[in-house]
Amino acid sequence: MDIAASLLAEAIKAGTPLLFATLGEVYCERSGVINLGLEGIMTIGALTGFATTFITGSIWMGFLAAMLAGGVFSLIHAFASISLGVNQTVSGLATVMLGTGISSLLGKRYVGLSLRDRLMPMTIPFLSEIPVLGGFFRHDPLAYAGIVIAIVMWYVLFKTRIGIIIRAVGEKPEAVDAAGVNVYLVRYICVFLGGVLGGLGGAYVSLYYTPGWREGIMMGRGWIALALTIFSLWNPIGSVLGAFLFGGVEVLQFHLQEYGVPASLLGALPYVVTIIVLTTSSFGFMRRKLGVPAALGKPYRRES
Amino acid sequence: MLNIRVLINLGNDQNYLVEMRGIVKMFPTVVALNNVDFRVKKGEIHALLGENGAGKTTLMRILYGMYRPDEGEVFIEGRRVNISSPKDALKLGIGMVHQHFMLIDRLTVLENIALSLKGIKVSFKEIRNRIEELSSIYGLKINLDAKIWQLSVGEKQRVEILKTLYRDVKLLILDEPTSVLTPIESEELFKSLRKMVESGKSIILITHKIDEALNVSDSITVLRKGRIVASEIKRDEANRLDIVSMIVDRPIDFKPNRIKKDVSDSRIVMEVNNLRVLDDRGNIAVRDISFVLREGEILGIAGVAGNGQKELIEALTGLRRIENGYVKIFGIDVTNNPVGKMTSLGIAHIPEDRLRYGVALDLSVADNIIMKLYRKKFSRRFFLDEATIKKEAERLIQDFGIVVPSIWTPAGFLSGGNIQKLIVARELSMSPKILIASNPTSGLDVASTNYVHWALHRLRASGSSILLVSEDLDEILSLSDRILVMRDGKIVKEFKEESSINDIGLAMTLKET
Repeated sequence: MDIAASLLAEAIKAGTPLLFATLGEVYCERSGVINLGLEGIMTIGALTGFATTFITGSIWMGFLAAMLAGGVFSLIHAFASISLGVNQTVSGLATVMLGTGISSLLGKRYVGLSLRDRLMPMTIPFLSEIPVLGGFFRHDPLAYAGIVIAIVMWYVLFKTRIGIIIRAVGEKPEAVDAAGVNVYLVRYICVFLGGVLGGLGGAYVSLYYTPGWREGIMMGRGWIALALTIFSLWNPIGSVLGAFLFGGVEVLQFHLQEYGVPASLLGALPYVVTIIVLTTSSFGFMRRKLGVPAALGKPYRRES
Repeated sequence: MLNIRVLINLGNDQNYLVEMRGIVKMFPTVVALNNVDFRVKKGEIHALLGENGAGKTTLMRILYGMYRPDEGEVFIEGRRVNISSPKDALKLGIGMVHQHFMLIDRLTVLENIALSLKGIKVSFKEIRNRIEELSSIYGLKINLDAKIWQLSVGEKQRVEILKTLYRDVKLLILDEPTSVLTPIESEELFKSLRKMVESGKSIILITHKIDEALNVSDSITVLRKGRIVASEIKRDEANRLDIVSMIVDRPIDFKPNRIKKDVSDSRIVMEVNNLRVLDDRGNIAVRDISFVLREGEILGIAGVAGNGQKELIEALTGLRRIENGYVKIFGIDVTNNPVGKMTSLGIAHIPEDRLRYGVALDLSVADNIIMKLYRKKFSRRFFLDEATIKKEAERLIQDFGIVVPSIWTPAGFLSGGNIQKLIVARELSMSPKILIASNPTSGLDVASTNYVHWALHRLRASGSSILLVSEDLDEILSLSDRILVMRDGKIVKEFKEESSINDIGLAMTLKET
């Protein structure tokens, strides 16, 4: 196994939790709701996944429970920002604090425990032996699933009528309302979906990537996913590239330490890139060009 | 009880597609509709006529399920119905084209139409075929793959109409459809509407233009201040003067004088030299224009919309970058100066895009009125002077006949016409030395239009100068001392003396002579 291939494999592994979270946030923001609570939702998913697997002994039960927990937990933000129309930034930040807080409290007894059931990588014969690109073909089922989900989500968003509705809700909800579509329902579904995928991403970390539960397990992955959503220009295919790129940065951080590059500097790298991406895309003219959903962050109220 | 009523209705009202009875709608502190009865027959164009804020749009939004009435009943083909959302309305065969289009700029025409068909199982191919069929039947041409932002206003309206036709509506409601169209586009629209009526559909035309109602509709219902004044006037029985007096409850006494003032010796207040301005897409919109505005004159700029007038005005008021050339005001170079500087030099602006540049919708009427002068006129030392603000706001509301529950109501609650009046009132109250006005009376009813014209004349009489851009040629002709015609970003002709509407119309559309 050559070094390049194994680096690529590690980048994909590190990028997969980011990918799930980003895909969810893309749909959420396409529908006009910005969910800053991702870090909290992922943490909830990580704990639920770990605890469920620990209790039931089944890792798949763990993933399922994590998705459900992420989805249900994100409904808090959905209710506040869609039904009550409160400021989405405030509600999102509250969701982070609530999610990480609850998880630390309830997760105390799971700290330091380990699991029996493990996710096994499915190495594809022959293909995985190709130099460099072989890194694509030695993964667990979920990493493969992430790529498939991204393609399906891209197709739905841009090639189907469901996708038109989601994009339209994020651009001009009053037009969708006039067409007789329930704007609130579409947004609830998108936020829920975002929560489900966020929970899955969280559980991927606690069940597979760095198995175990501890406080601060997400290490800011939720925030990176938010930046990736913008980086990908709200496009599921772009999310794949972005997530693996940032996964690569995370992996390089470990490897370059051997050559005397300080770990803290590399640790900051994803955030530096995040800031650059966020500033570039915040210029008015870029905003229009990049396709920022026009109604992003704006609560919808039917006038009456 | 209810059942008996339904039976009676079935017997009586076979010819009526829509019947609204005893409709009452209250908004915070105003009664928008007061016990309104309204009926529309099958296969007719029915004009719903009235001033701004009379309640026309509110009544139709109730019919389309966007508002719930506080009292009253709606019957469709004699059957009592409960319309609680646009979805319900569409199911009953009622479609509506709003004044502000419900289209998503970044999607294509096809995608927009597909969006409106939610719940109906069709493929994109089916939609394409059907739309092409509908286009040819009703004469509504459209490019299905164009993005909405690439379309003209007339084309956008066609998309809206096609959306409703696709749903096979029995009744089509159009809210002030011609207010955004050129005369030729309006003619085309009316032809299409005629074809729809011939195929058995009914159409409700919300309008404040009397001639439009008289020329196009089969019958007319007049609303005034939330009450029905006259209903179902047949076209051949309608008398223009009677209808005017029904619509307006204030006497109209102002006739603008057509006496042109010769100001060629007066001093120059604004000098525009070789001005070049780009549009939003980076194309040249204003091509090296030069002209002067003199003290005490009204200079009209005529032209078909989209020939650079908008960009010119925005450049002159500091809203858009000037690429080349200069603008001097009272001899001072103000090229690319910020808007605030312009205001402090005594320039007022009635913008074309009133919702974007004219008002802050979430602020109160009073706040909007003091917006430009709060530093000078309305503050005492550090604090706002409530008493002066209140007095001024109430005076302007009175003078301009702005229909508003209270001066503390957010401007967003006002109807389009009343917002326009609010802007005009504020800008004129600044007693500006130069007023740059873009379509100052668009969307206003007869009485308000007259009032604005009178106010512009009064402003000129006081020695101020006005640069007037308008798509309404009659307005330009009756007000201006001098007229420039703009086409393709250039000034193609200047009219100094009394001139005919035909000459100007020709200059607007033909190549240079």
